[in-house]
Amino acid sequence: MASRGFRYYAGGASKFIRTLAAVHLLHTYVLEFAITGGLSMLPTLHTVGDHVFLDKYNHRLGRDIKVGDVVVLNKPTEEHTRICKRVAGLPGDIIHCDAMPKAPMPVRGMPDDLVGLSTGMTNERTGKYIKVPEGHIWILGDNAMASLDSREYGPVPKALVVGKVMWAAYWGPFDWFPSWPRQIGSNIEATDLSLTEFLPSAHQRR
Amino acid sequence: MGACLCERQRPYGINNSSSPFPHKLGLVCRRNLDLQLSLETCSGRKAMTFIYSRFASQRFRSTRATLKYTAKTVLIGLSWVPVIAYVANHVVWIGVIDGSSMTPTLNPETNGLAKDVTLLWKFNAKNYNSYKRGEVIVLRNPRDPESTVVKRILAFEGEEVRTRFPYPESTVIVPPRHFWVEGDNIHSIDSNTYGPIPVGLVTARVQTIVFPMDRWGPVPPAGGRDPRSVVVGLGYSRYPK
Repeated sequence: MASRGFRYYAGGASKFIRTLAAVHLLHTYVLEFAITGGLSMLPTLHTVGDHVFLDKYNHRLGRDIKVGDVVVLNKPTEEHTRICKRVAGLPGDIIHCDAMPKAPMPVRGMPDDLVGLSTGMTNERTGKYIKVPEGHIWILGDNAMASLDSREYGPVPKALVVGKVMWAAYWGPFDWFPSWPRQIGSNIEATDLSLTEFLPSAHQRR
Repeated sequence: MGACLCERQRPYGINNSSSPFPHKLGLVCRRNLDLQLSLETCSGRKAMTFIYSRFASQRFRSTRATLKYTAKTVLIGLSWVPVIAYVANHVVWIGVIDGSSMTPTLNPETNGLAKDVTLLWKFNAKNYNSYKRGEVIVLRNPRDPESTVVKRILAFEGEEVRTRFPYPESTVIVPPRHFWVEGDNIHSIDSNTYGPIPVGLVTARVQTIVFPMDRWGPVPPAGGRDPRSVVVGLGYSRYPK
């Protein structure tokens, strides 16, 4: 086999690196197509096979986010993990912290830190009224019984927000073709005035 | 015509059709062109016809070819911007420290004019277990996501921390994958104001002071605040690694 010199490979390698970096930049700052999974957003997003479109250009770092938006953010209590939740409170809102999820039985072999979740957890926040601090949001999963959200780890910094879910299309493991994409969250025009118009702090909301 | 004096270099001007200077320059590299010219002119008439100086009469191609050449060069230059952005975001970059919250470790001068220039090491920044106590980090301000602050790590997950004034409770247990950060200056807005911060907010670690040359070197691992035992005890065992 012929061994080629550095010059021979340099051009192709540099093009490869530049393309990779450009795609990464696009995925970080502009848009991303991602696959979501899990029980916590169940009526809105499927457990498996939902392909979502994230708008990062307008909504990265929690910019221009309203109550009712579905956002993807880095999990506060775990690095390298992302969660998808609905925004339930903005800075200045007063929130009632609900009870925690309560599954019937702990599953055998479940890690210790999840056993508390299955038997119903409480913390110092449970059942109290909390004012969401500056620069934070209150996030909740739509499936309250199986969601680990702000009830567990309190208000979340906006800086953890990666992007906002705009569209979702279901393409399950046994489907030949994806479903027609549907709009998610307050992206739908009809739901825009349902919640926010009648809350007292709507005028101060940013 | 003769080969260039530095023979490792590529010949300049041969078979380079996209160059605006397509006329033959001989086997001469760009750097030694003038030297070569002076050598060759002595040797004979033929070499004189071959070799042109960069600074003497230059024959240009058409404007269109020159524009094409320029556009190509600019595009190739622009295509490296994402690579530089990636390095700046994920590997290493230079940061200018603003404000007095880390005085006297960073920005020891009291006037706001002398700002420290530091090396921000961003590789592995989201890896919680890679951090050591006393490291100085850059994190996004939890109160304002558009701005960043520089603080020192004082406690890790599961540790019980004795807090200072603005914090509502006297002690707090740091939640999983969170840090307790404080500035070295007394008048610093830190975890005592906004509580423990998650690793996701951390952007970089402040590795080295670069600019005031007399303080060149790694950032000292302990700060200037009055000594107190921040960590009181262990609230729960640390997560498995």
